[in-house]
Amino acid sequence: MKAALRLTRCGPWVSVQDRGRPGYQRYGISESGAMDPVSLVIANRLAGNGPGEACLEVGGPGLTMTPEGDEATVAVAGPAPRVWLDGGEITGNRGFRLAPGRTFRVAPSPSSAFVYLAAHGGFELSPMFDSLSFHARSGIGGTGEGALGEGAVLPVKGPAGPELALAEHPPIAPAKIAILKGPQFDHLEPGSWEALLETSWKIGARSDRMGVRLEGPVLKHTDKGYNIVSDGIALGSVQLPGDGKPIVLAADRQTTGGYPKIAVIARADMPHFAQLPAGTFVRFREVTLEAAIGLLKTRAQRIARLKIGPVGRGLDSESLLSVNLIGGVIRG
Amino acid sequence: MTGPRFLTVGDCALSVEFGDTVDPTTNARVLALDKALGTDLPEGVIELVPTYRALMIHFDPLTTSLAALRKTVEQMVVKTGADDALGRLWRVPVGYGGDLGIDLADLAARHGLTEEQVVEIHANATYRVYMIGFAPGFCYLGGLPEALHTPRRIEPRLVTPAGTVSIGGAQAAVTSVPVPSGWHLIGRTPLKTFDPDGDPVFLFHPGDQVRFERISAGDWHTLSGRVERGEFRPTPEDDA
Repeated sequence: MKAALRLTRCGPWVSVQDRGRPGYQRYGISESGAMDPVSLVIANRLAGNGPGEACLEVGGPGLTMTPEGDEATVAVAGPAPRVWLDGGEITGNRGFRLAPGRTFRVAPSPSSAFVYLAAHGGFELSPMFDSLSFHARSGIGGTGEGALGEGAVLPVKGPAGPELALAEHPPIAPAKIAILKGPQFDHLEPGSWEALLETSWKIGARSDRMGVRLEGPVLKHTDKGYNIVSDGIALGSVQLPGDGKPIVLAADRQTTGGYPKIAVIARADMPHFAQLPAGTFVRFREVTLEAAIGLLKTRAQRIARLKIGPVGRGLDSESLLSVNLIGGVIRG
Repeated sequence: MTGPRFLTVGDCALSVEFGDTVDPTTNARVLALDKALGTDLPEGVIELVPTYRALMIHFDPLTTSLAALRKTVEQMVVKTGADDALGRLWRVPVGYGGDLGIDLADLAARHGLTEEQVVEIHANATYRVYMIGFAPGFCYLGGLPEALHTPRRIEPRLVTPAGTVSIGGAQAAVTSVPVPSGWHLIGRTPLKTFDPDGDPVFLFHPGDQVRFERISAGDWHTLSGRVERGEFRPTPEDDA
């Protein structure tokens, strides 16, 4: 008998996500995918999966689940995952081999937005448009039955596997998020660019997987105004609507839009930005295109060198195995 | 014909912009480049998103470079020009007004027209599908006669039904899934412009032509039932 995970408590910010569905934006279908694709890859590696397997993306207040049918191996990853196994708290990026009936609760710490839960072998679900990522607004992806909730059962493909742990600290967020001038930078008053860089922005409470709202000073448009003929939108674009309150367009962003995109977050820093919970503060620093690509290369190398070993063996180098995590980290 | 503008969009995308207006020639150049690049995607290119006046190229900067990509596009633009061939012509049945188009009466009053006149003007134009965006299969149509240009509603509606035929500013649209909208809803088509289980999944392509044909509310319900049961599949006209 195969294992399945039964969700016994499920917060509103829990969804199935993989690396998204590029290729369909031309048909109006959003890319979606993990808000923090680096943690998604780490969760998958800790579960013994390929890097792009679908995981449960878990935002606050978290998720409680129980394996059914057979043993299952799951792994959690994120900047600061919190796990309670039958009520006892265990921290760290690591795998858990769970007998049926155990109670497993996972949530991000208050300092981060998401934790990823991978199951060894992945989830037995049918992709829509080449991906399992759930897009709330269109209802595409996931289990095919809309948003996850209490009582949902997710069948697991694989048998139980070994328990692995990340044997070093997960990637650390930079003090400032790298940002580039955007394609409609000329719609922004020069003084407002300074304000963008000098402000400590608060992550707005109305943020979601589609857009992250920045609360701070109102930025001003030049006389070119705030309406443009709609064009495409890259991940991390900072859109400035008529009210002058910037919105960072995230994984579930619409495919096209008619507001000026005054800046774009460097792709390497986008997972760190996406991990900022509502109510926390963020600062930006301007980087050149070359510097942004340099950050992306460094990130790929760091991830490739992450050390993973069996749970409980400590961090001695003999028990560690270095795994190649480069593949597919760029996207998203 | 002047060359396009190249706009760097962060470190993973390049926008090739052919203009900043909504017109068929600009859009035709976008679609020509989209077709040429899409036939054999250059290494490192993840996807192409054609819009009214620009082609967005999403790419992986660790596989290709902005400079290499720009060079490829520059060479290709010289060859492709504009895709002047008109797309397929679709005749789209629409039930206008009443429950199917709750804003028709108001829109007619704004313009000092009768509902009948609005329908006549709307159904006598040929529209161009400029792009698909915003929601799955949502198509933006150009070619709305000026007499029907109407500013968007002040209060957007949170949900509008799939198949809604609407007017927003100088644009017309056919919606594909229930979406929030500030546009004026003048009618509905029983056709599904987006059907995840259908073949084709997406009815319209950018560059296609659309004409609306009035049907009665009774015919709308009959046809809607046939579409739901899979008994009716629209086909484009050959000689478009």
